[in-house]
Parts: sequence; C-alpha cells; structure tokens
Amino acid sequence: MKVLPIAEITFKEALRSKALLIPALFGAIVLATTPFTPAFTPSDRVRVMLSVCTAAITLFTSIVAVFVSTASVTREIASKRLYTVLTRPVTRLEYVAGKLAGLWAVLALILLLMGGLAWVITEVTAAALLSPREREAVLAADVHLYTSTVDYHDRTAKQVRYRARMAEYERVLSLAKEMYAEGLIPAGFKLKDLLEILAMSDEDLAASFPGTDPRALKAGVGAVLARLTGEDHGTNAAAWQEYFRKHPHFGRKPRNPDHAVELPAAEPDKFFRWDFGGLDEEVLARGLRCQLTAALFRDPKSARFAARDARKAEISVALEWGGRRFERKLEIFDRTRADFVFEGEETPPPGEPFSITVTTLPGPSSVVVGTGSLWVLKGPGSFTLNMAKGLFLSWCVAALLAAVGLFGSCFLSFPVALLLCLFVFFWGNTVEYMKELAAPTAENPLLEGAPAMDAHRSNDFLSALADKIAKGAGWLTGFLSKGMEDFSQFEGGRYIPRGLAIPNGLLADALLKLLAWRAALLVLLGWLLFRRREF
Amino acid sequence: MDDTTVISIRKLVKVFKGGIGIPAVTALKGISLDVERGEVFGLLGPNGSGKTTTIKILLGLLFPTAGKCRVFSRPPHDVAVKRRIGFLPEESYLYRFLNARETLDFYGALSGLGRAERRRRAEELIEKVGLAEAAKRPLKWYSKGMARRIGLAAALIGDPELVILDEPTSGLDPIGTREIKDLILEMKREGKTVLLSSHLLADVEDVCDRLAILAKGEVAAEGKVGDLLRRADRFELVVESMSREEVDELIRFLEERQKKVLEATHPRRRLEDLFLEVVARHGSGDEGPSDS
Repeated sequence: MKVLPIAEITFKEALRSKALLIPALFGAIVLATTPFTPAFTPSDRVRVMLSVCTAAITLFTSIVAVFVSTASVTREIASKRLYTVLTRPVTRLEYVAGKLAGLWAVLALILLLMGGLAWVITEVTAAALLSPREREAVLAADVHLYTSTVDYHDRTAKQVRYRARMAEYERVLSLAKEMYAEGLIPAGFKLKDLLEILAMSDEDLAASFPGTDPRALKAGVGAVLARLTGEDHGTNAAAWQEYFRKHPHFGRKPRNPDHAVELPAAEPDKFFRWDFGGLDEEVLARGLRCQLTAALFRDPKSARFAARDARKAEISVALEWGGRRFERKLEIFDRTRADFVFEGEETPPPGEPFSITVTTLPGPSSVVVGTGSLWVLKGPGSFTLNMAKGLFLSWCVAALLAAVGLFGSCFLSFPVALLLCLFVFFWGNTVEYMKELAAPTAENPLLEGAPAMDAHRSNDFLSALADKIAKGAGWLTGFLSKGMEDFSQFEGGRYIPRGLAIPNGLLADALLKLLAWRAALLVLLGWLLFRRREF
Repeated sequence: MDDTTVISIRKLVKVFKGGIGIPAVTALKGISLDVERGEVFGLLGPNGSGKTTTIKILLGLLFPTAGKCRVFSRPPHDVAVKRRIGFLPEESYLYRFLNARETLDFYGALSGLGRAERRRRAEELIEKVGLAEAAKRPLKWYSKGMARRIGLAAALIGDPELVILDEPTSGLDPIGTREIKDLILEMKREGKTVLLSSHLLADVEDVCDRLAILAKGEVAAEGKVGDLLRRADRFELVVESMSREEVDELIRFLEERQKKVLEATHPRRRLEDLFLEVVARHGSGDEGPSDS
C-alpha cells in the first residue's frame, strides 16, 4: 500500500501551507482572548468562554479543512508534482485515499493543538474565578437527566391583544360559515355591502333588487349583523356604522405573527413546578446540582428593547420537601443557563419526594420565556474526557468537509472545488438555520420534547423556503448538505459549555453515520472521476 | 512482440478535445515506434511535435485516442509496469521543503522499497549524482542543475529497467549536461533501456543508439544514429598537420581522378569540448544556488 507515504507528504505539505497557518493563528488569537469576554457572573464567563472556544475551534478547523482539502490535488496538478507521483507504482485510488488520510491527520493535529489551548485557558480561568463547587457545576460533564421540561411564558400586552383578536376573528369566521350554510348570506359577502344596503333608500333598493321587499331585505341584513356582532341595532344604518367605526378590526385577521406565541392552554401561573419522587442515594450523595435553561425574550417592538436594564431578569428557585423550603435567586439574561446547587442538609433524604418551584420576580423585561430542563448531576465527570470527545466530534465534522473538498479537487479546478466545498458548508448550515428559525420544535437532542425557545420566530415563509431548497437540491448537494445539516447534532460545541457529558453513542454515530460512509463514497466517486483524468 | 522489445507503439493517435470556440488538436497522428531492451533511444523534434505527449501516454498520464501502446508488453497505466519505469519530467517538480534524502526516501517508498533498501539506494544515488554535500539542504535552495540531478536520482531510486528522460539537460550548463550524458551512458552499460526526449541535437547525437524524429505528430525519420547521420556521398579524411604545398598536391591528385574537393581546412573542435577543457583547467564546479 502506497497510502502511507502519500498521507505523510500531504501532512507535511499542509503543515507548511499558509492556508493552514492563517486560520490556525486566527483561531489561537480568538481562543486567547476568550477570557476577556464580557459576562455578568464568573460562572457565566467561563461558560461563555468555553462556548466561544468550541465555536472558534469548529469554525477555524472547518475553514482549514475547506481550503487545504480543495488545494490538495489541484496544487499538485498545478505544480506538476503529480507527474512524479502518478508515474510511480501507485494506483490513483491509493493516491486519493492517501491524500484524505493526510488531510485527516492534519485536522486531527490542529484540533489537538487548539483543543489543548482551549482546555488550558478554561482550566486556568475556572481555577482563578470559580470555587471548586462552581467549577464542578459548570464543567462537570457528567449529567443525569432526571426530569421533564417545563415551558413558562410571561406574555406581553401585545400578545394578549393578538390572542383576543385572533379568537374574535375565528368566532366571526365560524358564525359567518354557519350563516352561509343556512343560506342567510351569499358567498364572498362584505360588511361594506351590508352596510350599504341598510343605508340605501327603499326605492333604490327596489330598483337594485327587483322583486324583493326592501323592508324585509333590510330586516334580514340587520338580523345577520346582530348575530355576527351580538348587538342589535335593528336596521339603523347610522348606528351600525358607528358600531363598526368603533370596532375597526371586526372580522379582520390579525396580521402580526410576531405576537403569535403559542401560549399554554391554561392561564399561565406566575411559576412552574417540578415534582419528584424520591431519588436514590448515589445521586443524593453529591447533593442536587441542577441546571435551568432560561431565556429572556424582549419584545422587539417594545420601547424597552434598547434599554440595557431590560437585558436581565431574576428568577427564584425553591426546593421544598418535608415542609422545608430552600431558595436560590438567579439572574438570567438572554439565553443563559443557570446553575443551582442544593446540598448538605438541604438535600432531601433518599426516597423523600420533593419539588422544585421556579418563580419569576418582577423585573423590567417585558417577557420571560423560560424553557427549562432540569438536570441532576450525578457527580463530577471528567471535563478533560468530555473535551476530548467534543474535539473528536469536531474532527468528524471537519473530516467530512475535507472529504468534500478532496472530492471536488479530484475533478475540478481549485476555485470551482473551493466554491463547491464552501457551498456545501454554508448550504448545510443555512438550511439548518432556516429550519431552526422556521420550525417551532427544532430538533435539539438536549431538549427533546420541549418547545424550542425560538417558538416566537415561527415563520411559514422560511419553513416553506427551507423545504423547497432542501427538496430542490440535486442529489449530490442534497446528499452532501444533509451531511452538513447533521453537523449540528454532532458538534461537540453544543455539549461542552453546558457541562453535559457527551454520550459515547454519539461518537459512534458521528464516526459511522456522519463520516465513514460519506467519506468512503466521496473517495470512491472522486476516484472514479480522477481515474481517467489526463494531466 | 518479443521479450526484447521494451516499448511498442502502434499507430498511436492522440486528439486533445477542444472546448467552446477552441478547436480540437491532433497531437499524434498515428505514430509507430519500437524501443529495444538495452538501447538508448532518442526522441527528437521541435516544440509541439508530440514528444511529451508520447511520453505522457507511455507513463499513463494521458490516454491514447486510438492505437496501441505497450510497455513491457502491458498497457502503460498498469501499476506493475510503473514499477519498472523511472521518469524524469521536463522540469524537476519536487517537494521544495524536503531535502535530498527525504525526497529520495519518499519516492523510494512510492516505488515500494523497504526502509533499509531506500536508505541504501538514496545514499548511493546522492553520491552518484554528486549531491553528497547538499543532501541536507531543502530543495528550494537548490540551483537548477542540482534540482535536475536530484530529479534524476529520484527517477532512478526504484532501480528501473526503463528510464524515460524528458529534456534531461534543459537548463543545465555544459558541465551538467556532460555529467547527465555520462550518467545516461552508465545506465546503458548497466543494461537499462533509456528513452530520451530532447530538442538539443547534440545530446541525442552523443548518447543515443537510435532515434526518431517527430514532426507535427508524425515520425519523420527513424533509425540508428550512425546510419542516419552517415553521408554516403561525402568522405572526410583527417590527417596530422600538413603544409600548404602538401595540401595543394593532394587536391591536384584528387582532381586528376575526377574527385571534387569541397573543403580543405583544419577540423574544428566542438565548443563543448573546449568549454569543458577550459573550465576544468580553472577548477570551477556547480555548487550552491545560482539561478533557482
């Protein structure tokens, strides 16, 4: 097998290329500046930092993957070094496979270096800013998911109005349908027409509707309006006109879907509450370490939107068992995840039922949408191990991109291959992002069964567009983009900052479902196109 | 085809497809050639005559449009064939960040040599092409002549039976040229078959046993160098120094026998020989960067 020497030379060459150096340097700079990210609390600083770190690692590794992979074969062709390689006893399949192996090794090295840097920065910052207990809560990386998700909304006046108008519109609509079925009104009737009939003189009516009794017609119209509005002004045209002037939205569909937040059927209480049966001893030995995801939703049309103080809200979390109550107050802002810990004598005895209640405290923000999952940490897992797992997931993502780039460079020129690779990269992310925007229940393995926090952004146009794009794409881009869409599921960055242990099954999924078969297929396709290529 | 024929080309046609607004180009119009084992075969021709196309087809880098091409009785893109071929491209396209040893190690690995074998062959070849002092320098610091020599060493690393050299002396000074020619003759002595493409006629004349001249994609002439160059209608006599009177007498003698004397002069040395002699006297060499 001549795969190894080719992999080795690809590796060595890539390490000397500027396509690698520049993004890697940028990445390192971004990582190094993360400890200075603005944040409200120390634990949040570490979390945000880690979040930026993992995002930067994924992004910069992807950029490296795109540029180095698309340049790999095309550069050898341009420099004609390919002549000296392909005239050796090397099959073209070995050549392509060797290239990919070399690229993968380069990506692994970059991830190791950047990941190592991120790890050091995180550990140092956490040690400096957090108590051991807080550090554990942020970085624990070993989570036992115990309970259901709750969804709590404190709505704005506009949303209340929207709902009322929507309900009114639907009531009128159904009444009108009923009357149409009874033959009382014609299809496509307009309120304006009815009011006009009432306003016309009897003679004019008789002229317009020959053969009908004008009085009976007016009485019928008055009855229809009375049934629609629930008020009775008889055939008094002026009174009816006055009524509709006072109700300008009557029979009109409210138009601003920004306020169409799906609210719980029951009138929301000012709190929500989880009730637990007893937990076992193993869990309780470490106390309860819970995380609550809470998001602040500011009505963009609110005057307060721009106000700085509207950026945070306070919630209270209370643990109750056996008649005892322990309370924590937490500040949340935007979409932060809050940690709270109950331990020592606060911990409920094994088997003792307990409840956790979350209440919002009056604050300046117009609305708080809290979509929370409650996790009970089993104990401190290994942050390092989790980081390594996250890096592996990021590697899978970058490795697939590299396979796409290599595939392109097997039969396209460098700029075209680069375009293809970038297209796949952004396409996948764009479709994914649009779907997330469009679908109220965007898939998120962490929040299974929970309404998404972005429910208020539900938008039919986007969802239709995303669908059309996804369906309209050719099989190739479809196949590749699907891979990119799958990225979101495999990004280690989603787990690490939340202190969630990455399940081993996900690693296997990333390797097999995301990467292996696609890479094998891409190499095979690339080879088929490369096999008879002339140089 | 018998076992002594290393390369056999029959009615080889290569058409490069055109594009929109670009007409197709017929690079080879049905050429036929045979190269026998152990000979140095020269492929001559002006630029664009199809030399490089022929070589690329022989190496499996291009695929023929029509006709047959066999190397060691097998199609050229066969990996087993490539094991027996060493190729020096027109310019040395190598990995500039590797040094001579690493370069030879890489190409040795591609040729399927074991680690110890690679190391041994690399040392041997570095010595042979005269790069021992520059073996640890990355190739980007090499002069053109040195790059050419490492390219040749890389071509020879797998101990090939057939060596294909595309313009082996291009960009080399006369000393480098002579060294390469000497190396070619040494390969011939070792029993290797050499296919040499060049438009520098002196190179071909000096080292080749047989040659073919390509012109516009066709074989314009083919045969042994001696046969092709011998002029049966002329005769040259080289004598030790003669006086003017003796020369006149000789001319008279010949004219009496109805022989027309076309030229009577001192034979000239070849400029190459003069150059080599002068430079050797001054002890100059090709070391260090010059024009890379």
